[in-house]
Amino acid sequence: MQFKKLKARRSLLVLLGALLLGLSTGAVTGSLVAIVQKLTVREVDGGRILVASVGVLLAVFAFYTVLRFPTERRLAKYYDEKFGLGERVRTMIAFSGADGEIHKAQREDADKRLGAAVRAKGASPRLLLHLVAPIIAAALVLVAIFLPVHTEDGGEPPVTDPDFNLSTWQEQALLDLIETVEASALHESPKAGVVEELRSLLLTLKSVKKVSAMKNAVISTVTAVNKEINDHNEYDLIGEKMRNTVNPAVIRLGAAVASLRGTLVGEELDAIEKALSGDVAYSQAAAIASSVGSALTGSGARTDGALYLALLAFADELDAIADSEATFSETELTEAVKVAIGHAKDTVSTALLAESTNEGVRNTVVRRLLQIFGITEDELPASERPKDAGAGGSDGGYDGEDSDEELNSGGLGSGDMVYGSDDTVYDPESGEYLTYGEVIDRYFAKVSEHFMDDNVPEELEELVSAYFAALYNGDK
Amino acid sequence: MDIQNNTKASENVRVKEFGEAIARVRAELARDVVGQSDIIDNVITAIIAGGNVLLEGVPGVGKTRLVRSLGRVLSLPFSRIQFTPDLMPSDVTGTVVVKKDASGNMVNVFRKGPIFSSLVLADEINRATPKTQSAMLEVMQEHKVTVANQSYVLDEPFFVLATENPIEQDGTYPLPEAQMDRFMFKLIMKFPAASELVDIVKMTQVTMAETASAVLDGKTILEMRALASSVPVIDEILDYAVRLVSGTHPELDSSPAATKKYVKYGASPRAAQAIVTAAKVRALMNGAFNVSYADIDALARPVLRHRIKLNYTAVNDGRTVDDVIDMIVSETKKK
Repeated sequence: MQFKKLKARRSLLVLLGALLLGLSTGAVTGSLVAIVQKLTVREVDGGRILVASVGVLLAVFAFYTVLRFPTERRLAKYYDEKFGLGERVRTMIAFSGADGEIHKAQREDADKRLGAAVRAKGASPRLLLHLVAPIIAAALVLVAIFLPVHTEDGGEPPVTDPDFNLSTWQEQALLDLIETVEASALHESPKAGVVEELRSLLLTLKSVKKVSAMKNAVISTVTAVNKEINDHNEYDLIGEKMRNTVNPAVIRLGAAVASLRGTLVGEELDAIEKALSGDVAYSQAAAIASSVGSALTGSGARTDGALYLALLAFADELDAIADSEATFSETELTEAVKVAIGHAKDTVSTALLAESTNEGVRNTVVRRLLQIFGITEDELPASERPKDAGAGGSDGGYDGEDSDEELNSGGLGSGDMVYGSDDTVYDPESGEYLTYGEVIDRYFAKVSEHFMDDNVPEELEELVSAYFAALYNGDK
Repeated sequence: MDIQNNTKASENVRVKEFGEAIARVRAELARDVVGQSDIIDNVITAIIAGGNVLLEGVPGVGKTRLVRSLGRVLSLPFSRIQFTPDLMPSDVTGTVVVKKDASGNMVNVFRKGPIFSSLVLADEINRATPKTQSAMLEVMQEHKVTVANQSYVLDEPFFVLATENPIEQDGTYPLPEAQMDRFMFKLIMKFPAASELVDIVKMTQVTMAETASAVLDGKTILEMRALASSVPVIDEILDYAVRLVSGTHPELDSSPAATKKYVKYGASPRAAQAIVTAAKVRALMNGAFNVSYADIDALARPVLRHRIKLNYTAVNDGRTVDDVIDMIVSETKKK
């Protein structure tokens, strides 16, 4: 039957057309992706090109086939209109199951006329349009192949994501860092979490294949370490709340607490001691106690935290003084204030020292990670970067003297303290006098860059890494 | 032609004979009637489809001659009724008269009126009184006459071609729309073209008599009618015909803009029946085995022009009913 033949032929043509269009659009898509990658100085990612191309091919194939696949009714209407057959073919299809004599005659007549019309005029679809897409696709493919990768200086495009393999010295350095943290004076609560994060990083880096993935893993670990310690330390939380009260003395004390500087805290407490004298002593004491108390309540800090307890005790002592207005003499008042201030200095600075130690450990861990894996601080989010040594003045004790406890407990201070020397050396490049620790850091950073460029033989790399590891560990 | 007895032949042969028979009818009629090919085709269509025709034309264009020749060609008895204001219903249907039979008894005998024929020309039907018109139209509808409680069935095929004179309006009783609806077609017989008029004059100078010969008979026409009824129509075309007729009603939201603007009220469902039935016949007459959109379009004017009432806006804009029908067809096609 002529119509059946035409339908089969048409179906095949639609499938071929769909395939042709799909291949063309797939090639266009892949070419465009490659061109964009080349022009934006990216590495030409074959996998991504393939996925995009195949995806578009399948989608276009499916869409075109569904849209154009000839149903009998659709095809019948097409031929009736194309050849002016007066609805003969449609009638033939609509009544294909009817067995009346006139229906048979109608089918014969329709099929005969359709055949004659096809022979006379041809039934081929417009092929020209189907060739446009492949031509465009071929042109774009050629452009994508021969287009050079764009570089800003016209030189060889950098390898933007080289391979990564965890070296022996990096692994050892990480293990050493873990040991160091475990032996440090970092509070037990965040310590377990920090150690766990570092161990997890080690496991992850053993399976990472690209530098970008390595950096992501290290930065994630830095973020996690920061969180562990931030969740534990509360000086900023409490200090900020105290700064938001209305009492000037409490505001200044809060600022000192937030700065983590014991000396500043001592100075503010001395100022409070001076203010609590004379006629206004009792009212001032009550006001300060109330402000400190409300700041502590509203801070959300742990009620069993050392800093919280220290400040709470201070507020309680001031409350007791305020309540003793009727009974205290001038001398008793002065004595009570001195005692309260003395207690506060001891307890608050001790609490601050612990939190300062935590901060110090955090800074060192973060810097060490960056050094080991050749990551600059700029690559970290701003909020995750270590605070400068001395910023906030984590000097532990309130009188500005170094605490032996801090050093002897194995706590990690800034570079100059680790090596037990605060000698400086002149740096001709910057013209500055740098501490020993800073010099080591800079040398190690440069060494790490050379390691990343694969310019150093592996055996020498291990030797140099071991040398710096020994320096960092304080080995002689 | 012996369509019915040719049982072994396929329908293809019967349809071929159908087309050939129509061609012979056309050829024979052309010997007596010059031009008016559309009118002739539509009249033949109506006869085969079982409908009646209302023919409008000025005097002398050949209405009577056409019907008379048709009677000869189709071997059908022909009668002509000239309607006048004093024509009574019994003048049309017949009446009971008293006669003396062979034994000398007075008996009532029904004397058949001119309606008892196969082809009836009802000339100037709009001149008769409404009562006479309704008697006529009742016969057209039921194909039987009831007189003195006695029914007389008319022989099939039965076809009425009624005429209206568009010029003389004084003393006429225009057919009400409900009665007009009973005519399958309304055809307008125009004044012949100059060349046609020359041919008419030449022909009638030779002889005024009709010379067409018989080529069909009533039985064959009934067979052709049965054949035509089985012609297939696809749903899309049925839907199109229905939309066309529905589109003549201005109160419907789906009606074309032309309907809403110019039509006062539209065609009845009989119009949809008429257009499809006639389209089947037309398809066969043109050698096709199925109804096409072209068949429906060609029959839109004859079927709808007497079933649509235009409003004053149409009159004001100078739109004829045929103009409005063409607009409705055009807008319906676009949907």
